[in-house]
Amino acid sequence: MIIIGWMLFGAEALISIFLTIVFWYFWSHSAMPRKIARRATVIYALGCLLCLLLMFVLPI
Amino acid sequence: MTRPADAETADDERVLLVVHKHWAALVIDAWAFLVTGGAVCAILIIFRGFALSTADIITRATVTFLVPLAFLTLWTMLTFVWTNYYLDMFVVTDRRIFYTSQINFVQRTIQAWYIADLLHANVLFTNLFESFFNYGTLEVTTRDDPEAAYVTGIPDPEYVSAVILQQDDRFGALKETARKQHELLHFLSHEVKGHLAKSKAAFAAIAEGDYGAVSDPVKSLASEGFKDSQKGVETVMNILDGSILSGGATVGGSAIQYDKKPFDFAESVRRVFDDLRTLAERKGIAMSVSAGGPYVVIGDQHKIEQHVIRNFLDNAIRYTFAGQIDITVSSQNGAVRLAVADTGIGITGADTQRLFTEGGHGEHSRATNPESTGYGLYIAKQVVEAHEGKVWAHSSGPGTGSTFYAELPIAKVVPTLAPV
Repeated sequence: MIIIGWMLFGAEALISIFLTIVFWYFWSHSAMPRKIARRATVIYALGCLLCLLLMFVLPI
Repeated sequence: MTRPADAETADDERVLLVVHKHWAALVIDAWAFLVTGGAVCAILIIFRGFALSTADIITRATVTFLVPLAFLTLWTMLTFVWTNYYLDMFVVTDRRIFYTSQINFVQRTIQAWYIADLLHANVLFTNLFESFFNYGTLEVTTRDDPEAAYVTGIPDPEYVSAVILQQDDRFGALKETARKQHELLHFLSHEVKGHLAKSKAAFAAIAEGDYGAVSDPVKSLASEGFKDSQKGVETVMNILDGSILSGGATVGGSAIQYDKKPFDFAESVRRVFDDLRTLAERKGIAMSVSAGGPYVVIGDQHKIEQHVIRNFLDNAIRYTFAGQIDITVSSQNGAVRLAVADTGIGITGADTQRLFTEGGHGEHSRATNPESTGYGLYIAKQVVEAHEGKVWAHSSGPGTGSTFYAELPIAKVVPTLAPV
């Protein structure tokens, strides 16, 4: 059960990292100022982290 | 409202306002995702509660995986909505209005309007929410597109509209000032030309003895007077042509028209050379032409001959006191190039910048040619550029001569030339 849990966590983490990179790339190559793009990337990553932490809260 | 870090504007274009949409527009775009996504997450959480009671680990694990995934999806969609909201921008410069609308990651539309073409910039508040939070829709109409464009979600739209209309007033005032200046120029030029023409006629009559025999000194004086009056008329015509060709004036109520037809540029050069060769020989200057051709150009043959070719050759003769003038016509990269090289007074680097400007003179030109109006090369530039060509000059410095170039595109499909 623990292994399944960690596998699920890993999958979600990969999805989050992938989406964070996509957003960061798009924002830094758009008309958005660099400072705003960096800040937005950090906020998005923190949001993804919160979603991932839900997995620790929800027991299998 | 802030200035952008990287708006795509011309170097001398001033950005006055960059407006992002009102936060209420973000809430309106996001509420659907919030409600739907929230409902899905709630359903999954409730379902998970039931799933925990089952002994099936796979089902429990799947549901546990789906709940954070649902939150992650909701978070991603909200971020996407915020991205579209932030990248929707309304930019006002001193010349144009831009509206950038981000549709999705890979799609963006940019609309631009010139303030000088603006008809209306109206503000619309369509509901109580907009009035309360002071954001609304800007309705933009231009002269060349009667269909209005609507830009929604603009915060404080009355202020934005006021900024735009202020620029429009400025353009209107500038246009009116320019129009009045050109009208005055035309009026003065015609008046002066009229008086000079009368003087010319009087001097011609005296010199030819229409009012009785006159002594040789009087005849000589009358001839000089005739030539000076003629020169005065040409000067006025040059100034008028310069004003017309700079696009600010009209002839008979309509903008200057070019009678564009195919003609052999090399033949035109040879013709002007034959006309002016005697003038050069009288000054003791050797003048040669190497024209080749035919090089068929589609353009106003008369204006190109008078204002470009004749102007270049005339200047070369005026500003050369000894040596030679070489005229070459060649073709390069689909264009015909005229090069007039002389061994004259030369040009300084600083003067090269002023040469083709309205009223521009070189440092020595006034001393060498006091009658120069400073419009000849400016007019040549206007005519060449109206035919999608270019002009430039090169000199190694004072006393080393100079070369003047004019390039015009050769006709791509060689049409049949009309007989000369």
